[in-house]
Amino acid sequence: MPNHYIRFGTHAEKKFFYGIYSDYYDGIFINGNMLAYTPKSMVSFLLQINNDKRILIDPQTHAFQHDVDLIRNKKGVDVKSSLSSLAEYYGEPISTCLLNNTPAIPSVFTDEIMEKFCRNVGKFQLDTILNTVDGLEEKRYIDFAKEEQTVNDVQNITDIVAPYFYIESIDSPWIDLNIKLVNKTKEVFNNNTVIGQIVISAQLLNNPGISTLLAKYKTCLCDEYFIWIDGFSEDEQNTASLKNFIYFISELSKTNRPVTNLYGGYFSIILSKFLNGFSAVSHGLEYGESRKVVPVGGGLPMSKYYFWPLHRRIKQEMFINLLAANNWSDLSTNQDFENIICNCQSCKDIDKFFDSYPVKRGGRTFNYPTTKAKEHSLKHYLYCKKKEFEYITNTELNEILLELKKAHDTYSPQLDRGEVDYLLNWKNAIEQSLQILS
Amino acid sequence: MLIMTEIYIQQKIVNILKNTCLIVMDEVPVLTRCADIVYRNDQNELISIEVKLADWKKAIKQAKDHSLVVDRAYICLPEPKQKDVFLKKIKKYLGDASIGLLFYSEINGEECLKQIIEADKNQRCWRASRVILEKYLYA
Repeated sequence: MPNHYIRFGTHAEKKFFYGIYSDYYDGIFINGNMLAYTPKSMVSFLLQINNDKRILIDPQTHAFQHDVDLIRNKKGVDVKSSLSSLAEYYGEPISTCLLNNTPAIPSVFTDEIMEKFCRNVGKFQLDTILNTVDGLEEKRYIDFAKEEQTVNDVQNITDIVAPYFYIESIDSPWIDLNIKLVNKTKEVFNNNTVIGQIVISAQLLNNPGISTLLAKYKTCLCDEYFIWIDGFSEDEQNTASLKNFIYFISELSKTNRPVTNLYGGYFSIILSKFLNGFSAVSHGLEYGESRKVVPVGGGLPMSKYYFWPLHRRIKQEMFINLLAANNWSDLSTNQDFENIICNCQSCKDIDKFFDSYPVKRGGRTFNYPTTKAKEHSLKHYLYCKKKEFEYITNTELNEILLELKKAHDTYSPQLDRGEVDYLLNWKNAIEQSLQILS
Repeated sequence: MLIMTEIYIQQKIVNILKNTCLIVMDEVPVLTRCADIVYRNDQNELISIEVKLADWKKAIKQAKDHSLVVDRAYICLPEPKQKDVFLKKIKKYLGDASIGLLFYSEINGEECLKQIIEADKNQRCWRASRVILEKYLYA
């Protein structure tokens, strides 16, 4: 089964990583800025994570290459406090860039600065949690609990994501710098697993020059690859783009180093079925199956329902239409919904998904989900995700692909034209890629 | 010559409806959208109106979403000059979506809201969201 990683988004989500949810995932991503800004909260959270979970810290170094206006706080005056805190850990050249209100550019990374920078970024990931634990008043209780194995042994954090920057075009000077940063990080932290994070524009996937980029990354010294394709929503891609995505992963997989898609959905989970080396898929809690590189964080999400046969979150309006079209509106008299769609606890109380309150935004009033509705929806989403990973593991690829076609044919007549065509795109891209790969 | 905007028409309609209806509100949250106007008619039905100057296909799509919660959903457009030609074009789309049509016009300073096609009564209202809407209207 591919590894299932979840990205921690807000402190309000903590409870979805404990208790029964511990069985739902294999690893957790922490954003560097959150760790830098609220280390004590993060530590108290991580100590309660099961010991078998992999903990990874995203250093978010790309945040400092964008126009400084993009990383300012809501007032637009200062750089967001969490990113300022992160910059303090990283030191030069980031601190000077922020002081001068200028974005980092490749030329500021001189050889001397680069080594120090890689060391700082690596140490931030290895030491911040341990140092925070050491500084806690409750340290001796934690040590005791560690012996009793009732808290997470955060000393397990030995993996380092090398500093990385976003690559927008094939002639970007960031490509060579990124490779140097990976190699330098491996040189400094030779005994640790060093991860090369590749963050590229979606257009780049379709550029023939991508093979040059791949060749460079294939020879770099990292032990593992993480990939992040800017704003790459699997359900919005045509067959050609999906095939190029498969090609990209398959090429990296040839190096026999594990590849993880940082923001992926069901399509990515299917790929792990036949792309050896494509070992893990990660996503945020409900809202992170694709992510744009900028803005760095933020956004007010609307509550949506994860509709299992379509393997994506759908708006309330679409959900109601589907309930009506299939005579599922009154679930108390209909078992079909439970059998075909979902039998989780949340789905026994469908009305709760719709709980909302009015909020004025931009002069208009919209319904925003209540905290209870969001949690209700999140529980259902996590249940579906777990089911997807298990389903992909236990089902033959042919059957998985047939299910996609079946779902398309069933729901396409009930929805707007083209709404579920992505299911066929997924199927076609996989079938065509398999022919090429074989 | 008066240039009408959507918000201008919206306010005029609200004023017209207020003369005859007890509850009339603009900018009303309905599911994940915001309906331009929602009011209760004399048959105790909840009616939504989506006002648009030109993009009537988008208006129908929005009204169709409103219709999952209200009793009847309408779109309202400025009265076109070639009414018959326009009606021929739009009728099928409205019928397929069970949406009604209103025209707004001003002749010699007189404001006029006309029902051109009556909306079908929604038979499958989503109860949970209807409760939320009613709560908002009566708050």
